[in-house]
Amino acid sequence: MKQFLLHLDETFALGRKFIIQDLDERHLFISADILDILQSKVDDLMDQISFPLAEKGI
Amino acid sequence: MSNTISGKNLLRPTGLQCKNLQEYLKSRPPEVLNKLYHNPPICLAVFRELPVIAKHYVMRLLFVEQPVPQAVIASWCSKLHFEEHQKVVLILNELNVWKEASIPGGLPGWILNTTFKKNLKIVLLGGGKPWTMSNQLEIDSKPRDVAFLDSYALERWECVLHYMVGSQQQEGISADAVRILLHAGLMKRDEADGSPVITQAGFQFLLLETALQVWYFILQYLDTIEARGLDLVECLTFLFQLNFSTLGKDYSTEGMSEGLLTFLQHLREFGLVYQRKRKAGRFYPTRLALNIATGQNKPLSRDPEKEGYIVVETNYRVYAYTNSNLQVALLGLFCEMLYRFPNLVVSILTRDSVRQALKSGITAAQIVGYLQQHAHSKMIEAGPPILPPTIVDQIKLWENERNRFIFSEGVLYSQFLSQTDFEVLRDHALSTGVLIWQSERKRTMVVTKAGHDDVKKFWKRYSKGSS
Amino acid sequence: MFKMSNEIETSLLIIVLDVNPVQRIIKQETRILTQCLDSTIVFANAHLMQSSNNQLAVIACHSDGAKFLYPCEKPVEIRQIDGQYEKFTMVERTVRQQLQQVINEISLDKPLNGESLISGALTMALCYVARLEREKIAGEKIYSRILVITASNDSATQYMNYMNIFFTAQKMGIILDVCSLDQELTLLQQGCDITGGNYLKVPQLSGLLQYLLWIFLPDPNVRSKLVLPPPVKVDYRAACFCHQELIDIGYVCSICLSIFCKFSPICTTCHTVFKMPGPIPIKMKKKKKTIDIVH
Repeated sequence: MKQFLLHLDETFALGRKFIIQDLDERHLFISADILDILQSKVDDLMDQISFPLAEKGI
Repeated sequence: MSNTISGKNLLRPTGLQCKNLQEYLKSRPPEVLNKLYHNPPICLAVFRELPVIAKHYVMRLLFVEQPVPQAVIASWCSKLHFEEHQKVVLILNELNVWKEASIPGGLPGWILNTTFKKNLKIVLLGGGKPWTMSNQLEIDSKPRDVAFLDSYALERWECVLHYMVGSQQQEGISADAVRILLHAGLMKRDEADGSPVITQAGFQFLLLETALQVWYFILQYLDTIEARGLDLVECLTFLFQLNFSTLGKDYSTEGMSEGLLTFLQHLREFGLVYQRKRKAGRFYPTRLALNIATGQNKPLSRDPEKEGYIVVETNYRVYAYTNSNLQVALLGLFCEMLYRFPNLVVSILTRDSVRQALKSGITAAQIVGYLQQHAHSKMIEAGPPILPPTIVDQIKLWENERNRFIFSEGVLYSQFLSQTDFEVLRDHALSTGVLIWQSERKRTMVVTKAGHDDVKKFWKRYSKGSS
Repeated sequence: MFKMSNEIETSLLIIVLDVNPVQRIIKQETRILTQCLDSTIVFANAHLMQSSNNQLAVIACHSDGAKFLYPCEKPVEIRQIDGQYEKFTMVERTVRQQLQQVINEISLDKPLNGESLISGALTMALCYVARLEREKIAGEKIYSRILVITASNDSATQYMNYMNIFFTAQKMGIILDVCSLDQELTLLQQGCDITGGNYLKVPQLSGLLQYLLWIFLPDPNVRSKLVLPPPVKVDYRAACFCHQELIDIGYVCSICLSIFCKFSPICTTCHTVFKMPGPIPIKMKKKKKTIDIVH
């Protein structure tokens, strides 16, 4: 997931850079005002990699 | 060390904080507590909410007049459960149920709070003054039975809930109730037109058990009670008298103060008591008012048709045997509706529908809790587990996939000039428990926002001292 | 915040109170019965005080019967007269009223019998539990226990009944507690041991309430956490079926396991006919011989 964040940062996917400092392999220091957009972006990612489980028909 | 990581988690919905009676009382100042203990019903309520071992300690001390050595009391509890004993001691201290007293000879001992002891004895053995509402009454010409009171209470309460979800049936909720909803943060004024709309906390509230809802609501009401010019102690006492009253019995309003009568009218509005007319001189407590502080472990109604109506199958289908628009609306918060029949609604739990609920601040635990509380009696009989484990797990997984990150708010300190500077500041942050992350190699550390001021001050003092 | 809220735990306490007027201590001092009754009622209310889900039943027994004192079919209409919790007042008044009826009904024509029908009361208690178990709502759990408070002697004439009760209770998961006011009760003690209950012979009658509150108030699942007096050694002697006397060594019917202190040719319980025990050593010899021949 950290790589995904780095990717978002590099590609300006959220409109700007948001990572302030790369702390270590498990921690990133990011700006607080990006949180909401980031969360929805992660949601989108999860949407892309899932498929509907239950069938609705009948 | 666990403290250091637990910076506030920003994105997870904060759970609705519903204090139980104990927590509520602990947060009161000791003078108020002592005033409360002058009333037998409150003593009984406090006693009932104590941990089970504490109850036995109190029972054993009830007829003892002198202080008892702490070592003796500690020996009552088996060594294997020493931790529990310590917890109990703490709670009894915090609630001011007993206090320390030294025994001739210098040993530390405990003695029950005299007011508490006296009034608990009154509850158990008799004596003292009768409770306010117990005046003699002539026999009611039109007595109300339990079934009537149950349906009345449910109707009144659902009225409040209906109002919150804003479904069609909106009537009979007073401005006062709306004020409480707003105060409780369950609803907020819409920025555009100022009309109340439901909040995140409100959604969570809807999924609580009715008993917990009532208790939460009452707690919020009690917060506003002094602003209304009512006496908190008087109202609490009355509330607990209701708590210990008998369902289906009428009580007299004679001798109640003006303030209490107003309070009674408020309770009437939410369906905690039934009164035919405002000036009827008598009232019936309903099931909502009984065992109000107990919250859990109490069936609202012995009628299974009203209580349990949900069947959940392993194929994610949810069948709800209900006609109530409210219940359907609640299910609609996290289910996708498929069909609706005269007494049955068929819906399905999908990833999208659950995520929708999660986005509005409802937690997986609340969804599961709701399904479980309202499970059909056939499901309960088949259990445990009551709900299919696959469904429960999946709902939790859907929640977890949104929480891949832990966010903690903090302030970054870096570019220290020397390793010792860094270490001094880090150790300080560590000792006050505000350190979130640090790296010696990079001379970088992150402290919580709350700790930032303190660390900054410390740093100023430190750098002044060293230069 | 979310416990398994569908589960309702109920703790049911059934008190069997021996009110036989010919108990030794009561004959000596009639006030004692009143004192025991007061203590018992306070104890019963203390049980109800523990939790709003707790339930109570009180049964009185004497030499020719047993009767439920509480709950009662026609509840008394009451208004509070003092600060006591309404429900407790109700329990107290119902028990006293019903007990008065029971005592008035004891006929004075027959000579009074010193033996109380405790086993009868226990059976009623078991039936009561069975009924509640049948009627309980889904998800409800009832933990039942029975407390016997008596000053009479446990007579071996009820031996069979007691044993049946003890094992039924054990099977139903009901705990039997016994509080003896006068003498050691060997039979009922066995019942406590079998069902996992507590047995206590009260050393000082004046402190009855404290003994009850200390030893018998805790629910079985709390008892393990509190330090209670260690169990006494149980006298497991059985009573013979012929004279109802406790015996160490006796004869046992090989068919139905009835116990006799003397040999009888026909079992009185299952009517099995036994051969007269011949001179055993000779038989043994003969057997050996036949075995030899086969070889």
